[in-house]
Amino acid sequence: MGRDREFTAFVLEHRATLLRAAWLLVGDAHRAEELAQQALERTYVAWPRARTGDPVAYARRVLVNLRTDTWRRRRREVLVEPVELVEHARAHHDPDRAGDRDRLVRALATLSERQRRIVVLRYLMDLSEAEVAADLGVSLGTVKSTASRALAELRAALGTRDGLEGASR
Amino acid sequence: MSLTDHEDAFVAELHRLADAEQPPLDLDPASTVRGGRVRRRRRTLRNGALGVLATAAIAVGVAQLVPFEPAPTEPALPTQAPPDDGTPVPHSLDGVALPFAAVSIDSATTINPEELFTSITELPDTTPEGVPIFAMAMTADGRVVVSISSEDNFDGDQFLAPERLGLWSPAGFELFDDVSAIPEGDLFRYSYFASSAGDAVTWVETSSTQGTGLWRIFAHTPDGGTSLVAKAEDGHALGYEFGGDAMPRVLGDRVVWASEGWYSGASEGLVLLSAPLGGSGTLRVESDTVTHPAVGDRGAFFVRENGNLVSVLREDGTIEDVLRYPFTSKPIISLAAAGDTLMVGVHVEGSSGTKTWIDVIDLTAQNVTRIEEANGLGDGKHVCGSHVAWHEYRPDEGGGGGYWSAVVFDPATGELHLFDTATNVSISGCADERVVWRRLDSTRDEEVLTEALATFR
Repeated sequence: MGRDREFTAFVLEHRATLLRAAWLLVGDAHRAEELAQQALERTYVAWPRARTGDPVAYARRVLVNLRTDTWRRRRREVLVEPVELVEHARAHHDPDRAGDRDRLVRALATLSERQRRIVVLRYLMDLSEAEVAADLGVSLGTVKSTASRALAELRAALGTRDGLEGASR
Repeated sequence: MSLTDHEDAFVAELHRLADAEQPPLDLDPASTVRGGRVRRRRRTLRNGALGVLATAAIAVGVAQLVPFEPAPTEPALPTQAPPDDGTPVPHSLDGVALPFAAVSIDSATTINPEELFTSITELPDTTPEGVPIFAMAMTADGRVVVSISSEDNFDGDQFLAPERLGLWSPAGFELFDDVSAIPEGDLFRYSYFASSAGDAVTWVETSSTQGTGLWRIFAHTPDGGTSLVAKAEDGHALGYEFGGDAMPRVLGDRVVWASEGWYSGASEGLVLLSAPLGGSGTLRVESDTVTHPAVGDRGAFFVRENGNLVSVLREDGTIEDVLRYPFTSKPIISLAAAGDTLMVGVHVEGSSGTKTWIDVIDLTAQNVTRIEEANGLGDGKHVCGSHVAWHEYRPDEGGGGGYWSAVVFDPATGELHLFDTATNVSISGCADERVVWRRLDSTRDEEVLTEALATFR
């Protein structure tokens, strides 16, 4: 089974990167493993197509887009508008309860889904703006403006003007 | 230290935090192969079923018209002094506050939908071929604009098959032309918003799963044709790069919508655009805006000047200012309109905390009824003949997380009702006194329970 051997090697080589991206996107270890598993299953199905290009980019796109799969099913509802999600996250954000653990995950949770994807891909997975635009199927301008706003919100969510009071000490 | 250095330092710290906080994560390659094989088998089986739809013959349905009820000219609730909590009341252009009445969202009575509507017709879950349908909007004659799409069309990376739009009535389906090959070279897309006026329908499609950018706006014209009204790249000729979630509306023989726009690389925020319904003509940048447009009898309403000025784009392309809102901090505003009723949802954060409300403005009578503490966020607001409708989040008394319920307000009587369904209810569209809604289970992975077409009593 050439496909299986090749795909297994691919997973072994890149699972750490994909798991990290999944964790940054969902903020929970169990859900991150589940998300990465689903993304890789779908990549397996499309392996003949994925392997001809950049299979890591393909799997990453699947992973990021799977977060929107549920949203896609509900896309015509008004139940998950980004601004409402931001408000919801802020309303449920209780810094005292979580102490100083998971500061980054909690800060990322205050961003909208779109902002969070762009921050994770651009700044934490170190993709270029053009790569983020290609991964998300959005314009370069959208990436630039969203990234800039999201980074400012992340600074605020982390608590100080610089956002990282005491974090580097 | 330059701004770039500052940003680089911040990003480096984000990396450090990620390294420090990341928990142990593991994944077995063999299980991904096993799961992948199962998915592959399922997909092979599905492909047969989708092929049936592509060749199906679809009947055309015609629904009966219901008489239009004019908007109220007298406020049902007693006129009050403007609120003293810092929330502004709309003013006429010469600076006079509109007569104002208010009702609290907490006074809504819970009502069974059967008590509110004379008839409720359930939509089919699927086409006769078994492909799921989704209600998106309504035409003036009561047909439902639907999209026809299998959930399996999405492989996590891209869409695998085109989605079709069409009309449903109790008499059957009418599919619009397949536009998946227009413009040439596009990936498969899906639609996320549709609206209708008269016999015309307009909708927006994108291949982006992020619901942003790369939009393509189409129209089904009264002569039965389908046109590509505009695509995001059309802005390049004008020096713009467009993004954002376009939500198009029919305005006479044009389509109007708002898009994020960057002019010559500089951020411009939202801009109001229009193009001919028939697809042959120039894209026009009409104005800056802070809202998506909402079309009523006077034209396409939109808000500019940081939320302080409500204006209307008329069919002839002229713009007239309508009202002023003296906000002291920048609000988030959403609009809905029909006839001469304008619905304004407001969410604003000020020195006294967050305020959210909905104003129902009778532009003929020049009065405003405010639903205090109502959900001012979001675009799921509708003016349905003499009623207005939107969504409110209701906490579950049992602590189960709550659900979104539909709320209906009748400005003529002051009656405020909440659907008694204890499930998520999403109003997909309305026309005159008719409403189409979708009822979903109340988990975060909502499954559609029913979609129904109903007529107000």
